[in-house]
Amino acid sequence: MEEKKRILLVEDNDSIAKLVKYKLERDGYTVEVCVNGNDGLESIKARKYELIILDVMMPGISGFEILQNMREIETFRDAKVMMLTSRSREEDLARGFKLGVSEYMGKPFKVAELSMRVNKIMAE
Amino acid sequence: MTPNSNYSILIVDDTQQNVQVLSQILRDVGYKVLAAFNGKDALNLLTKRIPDLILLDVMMPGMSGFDVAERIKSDDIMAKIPIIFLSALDEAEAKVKAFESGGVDYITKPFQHKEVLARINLHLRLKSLEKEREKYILELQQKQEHLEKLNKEKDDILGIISHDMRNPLGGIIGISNFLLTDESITDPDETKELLRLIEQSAERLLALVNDLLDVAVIESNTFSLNKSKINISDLISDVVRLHEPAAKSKHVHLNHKDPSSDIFVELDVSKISQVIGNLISNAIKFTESKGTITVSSELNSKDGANQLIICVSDNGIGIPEEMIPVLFKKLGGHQRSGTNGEKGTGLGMPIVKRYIEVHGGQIEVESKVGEGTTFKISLPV
Repeated sequence: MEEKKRILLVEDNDSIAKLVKYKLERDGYTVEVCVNGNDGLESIKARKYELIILDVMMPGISGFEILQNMREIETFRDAKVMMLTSRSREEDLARGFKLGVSEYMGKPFKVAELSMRVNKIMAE
Repeated sequence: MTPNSNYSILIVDDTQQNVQVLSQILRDVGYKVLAAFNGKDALNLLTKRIPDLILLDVMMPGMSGFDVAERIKSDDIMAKIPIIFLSALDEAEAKVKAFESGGVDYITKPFQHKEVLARINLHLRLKSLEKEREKYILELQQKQEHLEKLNKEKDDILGIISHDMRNPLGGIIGISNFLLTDESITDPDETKELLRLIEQSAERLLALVNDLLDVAVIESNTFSLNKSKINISDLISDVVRLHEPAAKSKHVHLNHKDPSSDIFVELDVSKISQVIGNLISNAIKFTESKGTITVSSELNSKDGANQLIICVSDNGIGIPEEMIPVLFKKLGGHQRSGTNGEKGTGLGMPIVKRYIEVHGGQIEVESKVGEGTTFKISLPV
């Protein structure tokens, strides 16, 4: 049997995190959740994930800081990242895409749409 | 007006007779009089005593009155003493020079007693008005700084609140939408699980709104205590019972020590219940499963006065030293997730502190990371 693809979700809003985890696990992935940026970065360095979903505004380091940090490390230069945030102004989008994010979803979002986008990234 | 005896006036004149005459005039209306017969002595005296006004002769051997005035005006403290020149010189030039060197007035000799007194009175009044003005300006500045600080605090709180309200609301909307639109959910247990998530988010929102209401009442300074006599053990038992389900679901033991002791005290039951409740729910948040929380109460005597001591102790994760000073700080200062990621409002501890203070009591905290925390409340009885 094929092993399930692993996704890391770094999101401080636990209701949102639980919902996304719930939906994506139904879609057939394994989802790990970190509720703050520092734990998120540690997990990223400790294990391999097919996709990392980052919230931007969190206690501790922000999603952008995690992404910046990742891109400075050879191993994570091409890791797939999706941003999930209420900060969806143009300059935020530009910053995200400059750092090579695969998707950028503004909050509030529909879980069905998130699931579709995740499936698309995973199929690439 | 203040009686003249509150004022001291320094006379500086090299002619002894002038000093005597002036002194008599001033003493007759109640002023205290100091005298110096030359500039050097005057300056010397000023280092020890600061009069309210100086009557200064212009033509003196050694230092002239103008020189003395300039020296006085160059000293920060002495500069505020009004100087009235007294001189036989009647030329405009001398008068101008007198004002340039820092005098506030110029009286020509021979002088009228009444005129001298009237001018002294005027300048003492001006000086006290100036003093008041400075006081008011300082008060206004302080008030403005205070208001600016309060306003900034309000802005900060608003920012934190809007972020904290958005989070659970986002959860409620997101999950509701998912339930309504995703047709793949058919299992009632799954539906229930998602509904439970909605419930949790709504409860957090309610807790936040409740805390905010408490804070609003506290900040408006309009709240009053509704005291009644009660057995503190009964009160603690009630609060403990209320928190037992939360403790149980996290596998934390919640103990009430000596539940049958009889200590009757007069206090605001709802506020003290809230205080103990906040401390217990915090303890549950920051204690891992299999940990223990103990609530105890006892009477203590300190400096001859009786005190009620209530302690809430846990053997949880503890509070890092650097967090302790900000723990009770005003509003939105501090928020920390529990060992299971439980969220707080960041308002609980400031509310606790305020409620204890209005009872005339104190709250202290002792904590060691990895070993646990004890909150100790002392209330006068």
